Amino acid sequence: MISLTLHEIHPATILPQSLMGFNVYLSNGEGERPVKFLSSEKMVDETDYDQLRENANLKVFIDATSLAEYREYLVAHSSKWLTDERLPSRLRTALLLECLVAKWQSAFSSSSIDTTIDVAKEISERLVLSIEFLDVRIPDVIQALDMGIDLSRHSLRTAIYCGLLGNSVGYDGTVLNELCMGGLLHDIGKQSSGESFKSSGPENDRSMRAHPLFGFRRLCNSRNVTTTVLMMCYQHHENMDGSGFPVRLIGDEIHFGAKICAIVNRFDHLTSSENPRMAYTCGSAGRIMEQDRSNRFDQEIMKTWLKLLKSHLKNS
Amino acid sequence: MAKTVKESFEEQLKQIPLDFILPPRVREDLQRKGIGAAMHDDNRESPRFRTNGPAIFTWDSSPAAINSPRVARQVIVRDLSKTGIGILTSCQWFPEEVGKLQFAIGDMVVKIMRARRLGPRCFEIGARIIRYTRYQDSQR
Repeated sequence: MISLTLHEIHPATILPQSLMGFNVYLSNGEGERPVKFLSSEKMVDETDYDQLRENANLKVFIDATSLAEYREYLVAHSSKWLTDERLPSRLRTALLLECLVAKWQSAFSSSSIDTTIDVAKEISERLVLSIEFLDVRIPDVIQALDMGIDLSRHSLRTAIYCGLLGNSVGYDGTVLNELCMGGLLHDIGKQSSGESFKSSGPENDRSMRAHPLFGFRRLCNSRNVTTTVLMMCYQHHENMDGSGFPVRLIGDEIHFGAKICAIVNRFDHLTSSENPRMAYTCGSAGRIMEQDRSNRFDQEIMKTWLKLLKSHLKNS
Repeated sequence: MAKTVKESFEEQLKQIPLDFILPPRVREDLQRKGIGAAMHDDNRESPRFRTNGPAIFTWDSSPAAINSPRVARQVIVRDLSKTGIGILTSCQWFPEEVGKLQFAIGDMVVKIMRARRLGPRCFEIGARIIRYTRYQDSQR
């Protein structure tokens, strides 16, 4: 007998008249052994679909080795489930991120910067649509992507926060797209330097301080990179009081995209950690940022961020 | 009688005045001579010699995403090494920008490597020398 490692999926992601391309297993409540429900070659017919919809106790699983195919299936049918209002927006956010994270992880570590930029452009378009049409909430993003501090997840979370904050500040359309893309690419200089940024030490500190410059060099000659995206990468460690790096700019010498990125970057560093128990909760991170009396961040944008965070915490 | 290169350079300097005020500590530092101390993040391959002289910078090219209009500027050359040059200027320049520095005795094509803010409207730019042309005596 072959034992399978099963991965639970949400029944609502199985859509009628779709070919799954992988086996689906069903269990009828807690403790019951899952049995094969749909084989990989079978189209989901209306009877199967009704059965899934009508029984709230059903649990649906796939073989863990089919996760990549499941993500492809989700991406291919995303226009259907993203607009399906029967699905809670929290779930739609989680599914969307599940689709995007694998794609972004492989693009982020690609040796071709053009591939990384093209995928970043595509993902930021999806993120903007989600921000505009889904009720994406900060705690849901953390829950969906709360797995360590790896750079690709950090940049995906930053991109969503940049989009949410940009939207709250009053930007839409193209600018929101640029903000999401800048969030995805802001740490691309860390990728190119080939250094680990987890430990401390003079060499690491030097690389850390150089990563905005490395990132700028990787991005600056691409036609798909706008000034906003480039400045988010180059200036996201600049502080309003001139204490940042690499240039030590002050106040309005810093691009607005970089001011937005700096705030959400700080928030993500507070709420994520290699050891999940060391990470602050959303609320604690908000309080730390609120009590920060340094003048590192743009105060107006910070107020908008804290207001947004409070409203998301209140409704979650 | 035709103007010498030096005369026309001086005339150009008058037309493009310096548009920044040096912070006091930078002004003091410019009075010093000799080899400059290496900074902790110094990437220069050869020792840098302190200098203090005017030059005119004109842009040749900027990265695709930097599209702000650029006009010629008078700058101060702060230090010079075999491969690089340090310039003081009034605005932020970006890495990978390429331009020409013109002096009384020659000109230099340089590529910007980094920028650092020293004070209000005062930036220090580090550039790599791509090509140096020294004018012939007859030109000078």
